[in-house]
Amino acid sequence: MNVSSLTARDLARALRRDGVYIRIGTHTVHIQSPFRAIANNLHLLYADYPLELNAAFADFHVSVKPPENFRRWLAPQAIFRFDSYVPFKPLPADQAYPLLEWGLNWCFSTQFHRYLVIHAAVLEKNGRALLMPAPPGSGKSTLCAALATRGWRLLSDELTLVAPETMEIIPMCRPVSLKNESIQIIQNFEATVAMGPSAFDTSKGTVGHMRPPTDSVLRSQEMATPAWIVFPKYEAGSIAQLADLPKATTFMKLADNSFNYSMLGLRGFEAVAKLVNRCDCHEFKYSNLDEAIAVFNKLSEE
Amino acid sequence: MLYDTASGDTHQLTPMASRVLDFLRSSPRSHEEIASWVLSSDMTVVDDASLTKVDTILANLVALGLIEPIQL
Repeated sequence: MNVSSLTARDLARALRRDGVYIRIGTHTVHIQSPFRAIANNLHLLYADYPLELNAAFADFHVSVKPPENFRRWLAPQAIFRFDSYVPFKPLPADQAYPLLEWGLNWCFSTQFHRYLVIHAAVLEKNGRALLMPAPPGSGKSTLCAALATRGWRLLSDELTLVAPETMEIIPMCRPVSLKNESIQIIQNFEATVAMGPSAFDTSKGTVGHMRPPTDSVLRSQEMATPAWIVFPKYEAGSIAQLADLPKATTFMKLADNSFNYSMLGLRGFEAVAKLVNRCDCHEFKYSNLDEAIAVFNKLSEE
Repeated sequence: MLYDTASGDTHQLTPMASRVLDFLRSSPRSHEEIASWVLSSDMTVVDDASLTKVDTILANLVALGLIEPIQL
């Protein structure tokens, strides 16, 4: 059964009661929430994902619910819980869906220490994976969304999971989080993309989520082999251009972008070293998405 | 790149600092031996400036806790 097997109304009912188990790649998340906006967003954005109503196991049990106090009615709020732990302050109820996505990011980035977890988008073509680590504001998610609409398989727009033993990239394909003007840029770039409703005035500005391509969701148990590490940077007016980056510099930048490099100790060091050694390493400036995609397509054909 | 299992720190070493560490792996060496070996392997002319460079490297490696001075 997929999420789309249920009507939005039935999904909302299941979320409100015992919750639903959604399979995201090789992992399962149990979600409970009475917020209708969460049901509607999940119904649209996770339509292709396997769903169970009673699963024996979930990697994470999460919920987004109103507080028990007066804030349930007055200036309503939403609280994210991982088991019974509350990692964030409550947010306005109209940010309930972004809160769920941010909460899931938090779960994967703080709990999955069997993997090297890197703050990076990752896509695949011809069996080879492109890692794009970058800080917020670099245009990483916009570029990732554009590549995902042009034949690159989306593994994640936010978190790259690397298995230290095999150096395989574990897909964690979820909706692509877009911010502010990037939402309209991607809608203009590819008119067929499905976007969830935007949440306004969040800590990141306006936030909207793009539904991942069906093919990427269906292939989300298929690992990928890392081939390129590229640090993208949007610069207005620039021509799309790759520049080689020294391996040692790449190592330090990658370690900086890892959530658990220090926690993994020697295992983390060896994983980053192997990753850098087997990948071509570049910096990339761009201002035009079509030009950028042409550069990456050429790279994938070499 | 070097990972220090004692401190958990990661270091990005210059090629010359890397050679100094490699040279010291087998046994302790005198300052003169280090300078002579490193500079000769680097094809650098052994002059006051290059000796100062080796001194700086040794001081930095000591500060990072990667080597320590002993009496030979």
